[in-house]
Amino acid sequence: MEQKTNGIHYIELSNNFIRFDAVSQLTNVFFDDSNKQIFAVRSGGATGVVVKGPVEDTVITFCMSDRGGAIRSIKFSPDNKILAVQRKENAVELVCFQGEQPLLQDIITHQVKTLIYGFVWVHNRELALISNTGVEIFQILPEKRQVRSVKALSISIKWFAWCCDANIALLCTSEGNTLIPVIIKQKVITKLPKVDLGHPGREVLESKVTLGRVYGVLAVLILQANSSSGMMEVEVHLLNGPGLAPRKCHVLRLSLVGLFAINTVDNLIVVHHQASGTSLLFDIALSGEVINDVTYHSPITPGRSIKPFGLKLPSLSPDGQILQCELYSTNWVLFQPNIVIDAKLGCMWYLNLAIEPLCHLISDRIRLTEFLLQRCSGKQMLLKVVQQLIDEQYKGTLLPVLETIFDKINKIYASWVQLTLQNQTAQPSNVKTTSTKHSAPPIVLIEQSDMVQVLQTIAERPYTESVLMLYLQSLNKYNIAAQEELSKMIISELIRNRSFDTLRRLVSYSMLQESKSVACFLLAHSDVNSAISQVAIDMLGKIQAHEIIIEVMLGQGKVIDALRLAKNSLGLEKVPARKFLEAAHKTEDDLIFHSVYRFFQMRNVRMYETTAFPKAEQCTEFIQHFNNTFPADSTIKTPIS
Amino acid sequence: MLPIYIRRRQPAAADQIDGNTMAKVLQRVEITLRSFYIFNSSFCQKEGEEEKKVLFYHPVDIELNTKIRDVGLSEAIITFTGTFTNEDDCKALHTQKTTQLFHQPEPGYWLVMVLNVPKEFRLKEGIEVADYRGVEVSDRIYHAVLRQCYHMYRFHYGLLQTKLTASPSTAASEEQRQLLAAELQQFYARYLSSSKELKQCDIMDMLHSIQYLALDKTLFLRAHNFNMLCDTFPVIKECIMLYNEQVVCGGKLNASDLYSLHSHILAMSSADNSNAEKYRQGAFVCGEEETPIKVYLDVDGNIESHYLLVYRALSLTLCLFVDAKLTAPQPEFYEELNNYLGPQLSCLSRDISTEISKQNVSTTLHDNNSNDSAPKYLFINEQSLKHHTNIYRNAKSIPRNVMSIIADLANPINDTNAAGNAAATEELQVKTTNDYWIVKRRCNWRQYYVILCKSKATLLDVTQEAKRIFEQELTDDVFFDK
Repeated sequence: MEQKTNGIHYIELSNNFIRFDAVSQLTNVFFDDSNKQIFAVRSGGATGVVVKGPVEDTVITFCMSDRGGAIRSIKFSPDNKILAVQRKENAVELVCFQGEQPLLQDIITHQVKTLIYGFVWVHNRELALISNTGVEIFQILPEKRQVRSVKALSISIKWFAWCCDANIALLCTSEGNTLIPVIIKQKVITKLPKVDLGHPGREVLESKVTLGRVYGVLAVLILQANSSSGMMEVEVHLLNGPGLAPRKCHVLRLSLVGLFAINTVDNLIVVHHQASGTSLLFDIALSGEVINDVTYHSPITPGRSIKPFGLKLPSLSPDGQILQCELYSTNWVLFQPNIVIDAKLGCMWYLNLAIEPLCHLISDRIRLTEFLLQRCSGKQMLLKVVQQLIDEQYKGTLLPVLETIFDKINKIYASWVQLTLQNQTAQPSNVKTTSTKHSAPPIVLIEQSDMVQVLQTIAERPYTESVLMLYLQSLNKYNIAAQEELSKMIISELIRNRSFDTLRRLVSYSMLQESKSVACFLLAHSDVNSAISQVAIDMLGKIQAHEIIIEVMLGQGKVIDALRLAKNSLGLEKVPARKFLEAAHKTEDDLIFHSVYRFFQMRNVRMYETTAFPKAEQCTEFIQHFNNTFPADSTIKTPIS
Repeated sequence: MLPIYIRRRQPAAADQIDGNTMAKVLQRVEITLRSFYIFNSSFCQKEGEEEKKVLFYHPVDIELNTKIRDVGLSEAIITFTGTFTNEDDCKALHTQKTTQLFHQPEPGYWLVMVLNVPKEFRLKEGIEVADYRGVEVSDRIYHAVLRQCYHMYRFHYGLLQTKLTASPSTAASEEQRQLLAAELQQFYARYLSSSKELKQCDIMDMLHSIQYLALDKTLFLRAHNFNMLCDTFPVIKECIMLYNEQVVCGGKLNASDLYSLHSHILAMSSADNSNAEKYRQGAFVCGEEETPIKVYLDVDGNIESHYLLVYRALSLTLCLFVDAKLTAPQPEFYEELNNYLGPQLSCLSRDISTEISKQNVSTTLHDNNSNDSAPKYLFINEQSLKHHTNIYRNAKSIPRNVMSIIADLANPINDTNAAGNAAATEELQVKTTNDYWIVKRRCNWRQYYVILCKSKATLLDVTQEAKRIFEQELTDDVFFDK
């Protein structure tokens, strides 16, 4: 196939791929999507089995005898202690392992009377067999070399599909072709309501069905042709109805015909089209055209191919030889959620989303924000998008867009803040904490501190105030208080633009953080305009930081005002005499000094029944100053006539 | 205990205490405007050209000689006082029948306002005697009224001195002088006839403060962020929002300009009698065909001209200032703005109305017991010139003498930006002869007045009552002595 070398690719094959022996006459390759293990079986196992996965380095190598009959399926138990091998259509062999070596003398052969379609491990010692007559869970007792039936569901089955993430099997019944999801867990089989296929008797082929998990919900994806246009569509049935009933919620319009394969990557549904060599991306969380409660989606962007992958071949020369892998090859086998195996090449990759190129393809910033908020690697990209929007791409007309973006980010932020608050609020100790599982944070959580870092890059621009006020408005909309960093930044911008009225009102509405630190920040700018000083003192007053206000007043030489406040806030006994006398002395205003001195004399009378100052207050120099300044005033007169 | 100063307003009280109280008032003539003139002495270079210095004289239909004589007298008084103090320190002159107020806003230009003091005719020993009550005229209030006369002119026409650019004593200069005189005539003829009655002028006219609309913070932010309009349309320099007659966001407008704008909008609204239907979807108040009016704003000390566009949707009025250095806005611009503003502004207006009606429900419950004798209060923030009051809530207002006392007590706003003891804390209690108590507090650039009418109140009662009102009404501001 022709490689598109130039252009943007939003899907790539991972670099941590796994190499294995390619399929040949001697070698058979199996993949177990539960354990993500790839089995390269040489000569039916006699000349060796190499198990690799889920990463390249995890390798198990062993030999086992070819006991006749080609291997149909081979899977390790989750703890890699028991290997299940199916060679005949009505029997499964169970090989126990000690370390990495099989105990070949202890092979348990479990034979049934039915036609086994397949088996899945549901627990370290439990295996579920799916056959034409139903589902049965067996417990394996290696010590006793026994297999015991634990649970069985009898139903005639045509074919089945398995989703290992959700432990759900989708069974296609022989009668009526209905699709029934079944939860298979340790010792439990739960039948769920059937998938509504629209009209009865509609037959769905196994190859048209994919099971995937999207946004934590199991999705049954059914490929089918549109009845009128003939173009292919994907029906998305989500198991999110009452009692996990599947509901047809979305339809993905492919607008193509031909062969398709489906993966899910980062909650996106990726539909590969072999003929055109492109992959279409769908996000069911984005809005689409809604008809009869079903949302019809178009691809996020026009289809593009997977990024070409150069495989470095082992070679003697140091620079090696690079093999351009054929993409969308007929040798490809796809597994859920995002595994691509080229059996002929002997290579297994994980599909990854290349989020950065994708951002260039979505020009609608609001849609891009919605998209990025759902991607696990979206945070950095989204911050970058916002950064660009307020920096080089800034336009006044884009402010409403920015407002919407802030709202979308803060909506998620607020729900998370709410959730953590709920967890923190102490529950009565006698109540058993039912919600012990900690709720997971949102996929993309952009907190205030993250945003402030971005906003700080545009400090002191003409429009910064507008952007900050928009962000503040959005925070306020979701009841999130501005933190110190943001508050200070807003204050700086408002002062720079001389928007004192706005500043005053923000403080009076308590929309900025009220703390000593912020108030002192305001005070530091009070030389710009006296309005700032007023606002700072308002804030200090609100948080009852009287000591600082007293200091400010003393600094301004308003000793009497400071004294009045000190008396009211600290109480008469706790007013430090020396500090106020010193400040009064500094004003060089005899009247003030006299008033302050007399105030303390009166206090002394009240507290110690004498006008004299206690020694501990170290006021000697001021007593002297008073006696020198007002020599005649030696007796106490009543201050008010 | 805080120091308390008991003070009597001597002159006002004197009349009532002496025997005159017994004489029956036959008729009372309120304060009226006798004349108002603007002159600049530098226009009269030679003798015989005296009429040139009179730029405007109200009333118009008066003999030129009288005009010249009045101006001459004012000049003489100014020059005379100038020998004792600075040249522009001449503020007021009281005669038995008149009070003259002087204001020099720009070098050489003097505005003079002559008021007939209120007079009462009394029967004294069978003879009708006119009793001139000049003491009832508060200099500070009427000086502020005079100052506002100038500010309104400046708001509409810009600085006086910019009108005369030609060198003096040339034909061009004379032409410019005549143009200016015509302009003044045009403006003041309308302004003086439409402005508020002088006897109603009070403390609010003196302080030039404005009542802001109290809004919930979310709505405030929404309203405030409406000024991102200025970013969307870069030609718009400033955007002020009013709800009915109250200011929602004042933007960065200078307080005196905001006051002038406010008066202009009020005058405009009363003149505009097109039906409310027009503004349901939002529309420009002035016709889109006419060129918009130009106004002059003080931007960092420079007077700059702007086009003023007034847009209204339901109860919200949006004043947009477009830089006048650019060409006047074209119809397409109006169209674009209208499309942008209409839906958003009417939506905001509806939300504010809902909020206001919610507030009103709670306040009417709260205020139900208020009657005329209920305490009045007035709070003013010197920094923002924002006031909060209930003085006008009831039909019966405060007596003139009480108003004059408040005017005397009030700290002048203009000097507050000077550092130092500007924000000194004060507390005063004043009892008037007609049993009114005024409690004033000042703190952190705010002035608070509580006016009580209680004949038998003691100092303690008054202190407690004032404290109660401060606590009840002062919710957003900080008061240390609370």
